[in-house]
Amino acid sequence: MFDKEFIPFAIFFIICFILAIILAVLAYSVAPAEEDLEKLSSYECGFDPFEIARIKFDIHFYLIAILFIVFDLEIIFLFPWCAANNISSYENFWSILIFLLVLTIGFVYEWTKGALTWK
Amino acid sequence: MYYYDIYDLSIITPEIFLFCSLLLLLICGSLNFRNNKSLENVYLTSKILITLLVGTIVLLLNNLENRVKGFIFYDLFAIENFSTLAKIFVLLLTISTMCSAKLYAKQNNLKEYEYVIVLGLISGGLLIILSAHDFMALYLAIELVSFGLYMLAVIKKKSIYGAEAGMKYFIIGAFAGGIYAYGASLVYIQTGTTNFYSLQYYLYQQKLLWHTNTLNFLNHNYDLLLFGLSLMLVLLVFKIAAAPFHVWSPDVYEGVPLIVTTYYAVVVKFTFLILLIKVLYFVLFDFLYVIKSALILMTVLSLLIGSIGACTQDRIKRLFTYSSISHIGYILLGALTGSELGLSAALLYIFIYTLSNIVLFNFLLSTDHYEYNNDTPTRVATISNLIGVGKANPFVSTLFAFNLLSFAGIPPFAGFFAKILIFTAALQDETLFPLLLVAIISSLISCFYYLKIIKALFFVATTALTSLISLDRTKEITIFWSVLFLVCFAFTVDNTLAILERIWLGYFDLFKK
Repeated sequence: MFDKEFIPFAIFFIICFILAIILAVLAYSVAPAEEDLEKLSSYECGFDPFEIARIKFDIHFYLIAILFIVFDLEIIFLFPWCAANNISSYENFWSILIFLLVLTIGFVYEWTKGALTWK
Repeated sequence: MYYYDIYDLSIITPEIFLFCSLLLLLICGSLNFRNNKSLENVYLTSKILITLLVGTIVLLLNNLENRVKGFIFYDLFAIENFSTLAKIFVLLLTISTMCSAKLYAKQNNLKEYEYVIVLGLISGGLLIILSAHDFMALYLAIELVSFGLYMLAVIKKKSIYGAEAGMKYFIIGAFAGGIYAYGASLVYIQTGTTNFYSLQYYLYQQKLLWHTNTLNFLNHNYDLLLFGLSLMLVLLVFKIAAAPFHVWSPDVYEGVPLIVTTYYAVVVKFTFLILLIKVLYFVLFDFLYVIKSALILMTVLSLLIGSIGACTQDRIKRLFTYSSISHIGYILLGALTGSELGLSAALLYIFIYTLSNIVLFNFLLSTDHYEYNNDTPTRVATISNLIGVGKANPFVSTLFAFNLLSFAGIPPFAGFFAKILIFTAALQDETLFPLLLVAIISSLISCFYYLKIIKALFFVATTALTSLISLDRTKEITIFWSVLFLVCFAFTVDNTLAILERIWLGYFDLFKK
């Protein structure tokens, strides 16, 4: 079942694991841990960096973030499509255009619904 | 076999028509209605959607008439007469549910037109489920449908029960979807394909090897394939709520609004039952014999848990959810025989069960009930709320009682013929005798709670004012014609088997020259 073609994946997986552990350990041991003004000030979203979890928050940030993720994923699809476009067929060309069309219709919907206006 | 080029989209015209017009409808809706929520907008969108569904049915009828068949999108989809017929039924059921929902939307102030479009997208997803010819395409279609169903579960935003039911349904459904995807990956590791036809051929070859006892030398990973297929089967039996996977269904069906329960129980369950039959009989037929013991266990549990669980329930929606679990048991009993008669019996049972469900939910949707000394109507929730309905609306109550008798399998009604066909199919296999005994006992137990409802309708003296005040013209017509079919089925029973055989033979058009 697990042929030799899976060995690169195993190596990749192990390296990822080791790298993650090294980075986490380095972040704790090497990085300076003093609290300065910049670190204690609020984020762009209005949250304080250190506070209790049970507070009221505006759902709007999360809505924007979710909408952002959709278009971020669109880029992820588009990038390999551009890279492979010279070797691929018309089917690939039209399928991604249909995908973009459907996404745009969703975008029009959320725009007219007022999800993007900041109240 | 007929292979269609990817640019020749003529055989999937109905689906393309439905999806394109739905996207257009969404754009028009968002530009015209903006944030103006009103019941008129919902009605307008519903009328347009019903028109679109009728248009799709016409296109599907055209496909049926011309016996259109073939594969498209690199064998991801297969169009043949069996699935086309099932699609027409699904769309008709959807239209029927939408017509029944009109008054409910008005009473409950459901003012978001988006739900109508979601309903349309679910219908499109159901069409894709019925014609998917690859387990990954099937997975995507099931997920598309499931997302819509999760949205429909929380159609009443303020309802605590709806939120709880939606959350439960979402978490458990997503988990079952994950199990399915895992199973598909195992199957892919073993065989290198998830295509229905390739898997069918692979299993057939494995069976031949197994009979000549050379399997162990040639392929030592046969178990992995079976494990994967079993995991994929879990999602399918989860969606129809067969017994070990039924735990979500009473809570969800009880919690979501009644009109959504109607949609789940009538349209979605019909589609998934047809899908299960298709997968077990047409795709994984050689796998059916391997998994038979598990299916037998599932059937026994469904029959017993369904019928005994329903006896203890006092709330009507919960009672009928449990009763539907036991009906699933009968359908599985027909399906696991693996014979042609069993296939016909299961299909007939699905059809008649769906028709009875339509009557049941149209009746429940029209029951409103006045509390004593209280002028605001509340919906009937328990059996004792039904007391006195038989006096106030004798005609519709009698029709409903006929429907209950058909559910129970009392002779002159259609349910009896469906059940006896299932039992006849099971009788042909001697190993199924104990299972048959369980089925008959469960059938006896189920009479108890159906008769309990009939007793509450007609034979309990009361002074409480209870009547079907939400009964409008559409529901009357639906109930009347459906029950008329259930009653008159006895006259057409002669050529039923021939018709059913012609229906399922439609699938094998695919492989004919």
